[in-house]
Amino acid sequence: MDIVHSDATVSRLSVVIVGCGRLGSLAARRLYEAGSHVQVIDRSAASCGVLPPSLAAAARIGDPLLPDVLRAGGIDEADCCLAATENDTLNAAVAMMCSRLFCVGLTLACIADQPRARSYRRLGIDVLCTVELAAAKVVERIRQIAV
Amino acid sequence: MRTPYVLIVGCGRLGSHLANLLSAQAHRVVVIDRNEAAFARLSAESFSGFRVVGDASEPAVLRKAGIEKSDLLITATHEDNLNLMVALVAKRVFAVPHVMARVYDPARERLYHDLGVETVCPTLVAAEHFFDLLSRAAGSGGGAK
Repeated sequence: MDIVHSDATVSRLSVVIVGCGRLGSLAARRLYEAGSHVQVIDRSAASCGVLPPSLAAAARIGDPLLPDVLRAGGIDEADCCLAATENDTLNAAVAMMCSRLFCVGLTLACIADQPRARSYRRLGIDVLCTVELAAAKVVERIRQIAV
Repeated sequence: MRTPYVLIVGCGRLGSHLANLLSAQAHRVVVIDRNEAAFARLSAESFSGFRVVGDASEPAVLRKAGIEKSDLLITATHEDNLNLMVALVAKRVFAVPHVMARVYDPARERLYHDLGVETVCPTLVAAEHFFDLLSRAAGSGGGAK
């Protein structure tokens, strides 16, 4: 389960990750290992237990839709925000807030539902749709098989 | 080679999206789901494949869906264990040439590979994509605010 990110420039980035589920915690851990400045925000302290201890200790616990919580999580200095809670709508709202209110350069909303991902894109939200990405991977595999 | 015959087990978000995508690309697609209502996710415009209602852990259901002539089977139900079980039946009993399983838990990928089942883990794929985007943003001067 190695993720290739040879690009050392990632280490210069400051990243806020909202939601410490499967994707959020994996991304946080990898960024931390790559030397990036990473800060996790989650509604529950228990979800942050899976993080490396120093990341867990620095995690902000609170409602990510509250500007104060985002600020405490370092959103003003962030180059990127990944909204990766279990809730598609919340992710879209957080991404929109980070992009419009805090002018974060790269904001991504993780959206599981594909039709919803399409409509959020139409609203100008940058979406990371796990289902689309997984399907693309399968399609690519089928193409290899069909050759 | 002729277009592959693809069997998709589970018509949830991933299964239905994949079915719509492949069917639109003129692949021969059959989708199995336990619950007929799940087929509502299939697109009226792009999906022209077949639907089979039934429990994919029953070999009779798999036969009905044409497993014996399928080139690839992918299990995408919401249960990792069911996905693994159906994938193994496809591989060992029906000798389907290519078998893939969606895995929620990245830690389980190794087990599937040891059993000869290819995997797709949406969390890992999304994380890889996220890092690609980040590297690009950092490379283009987006970093060090």
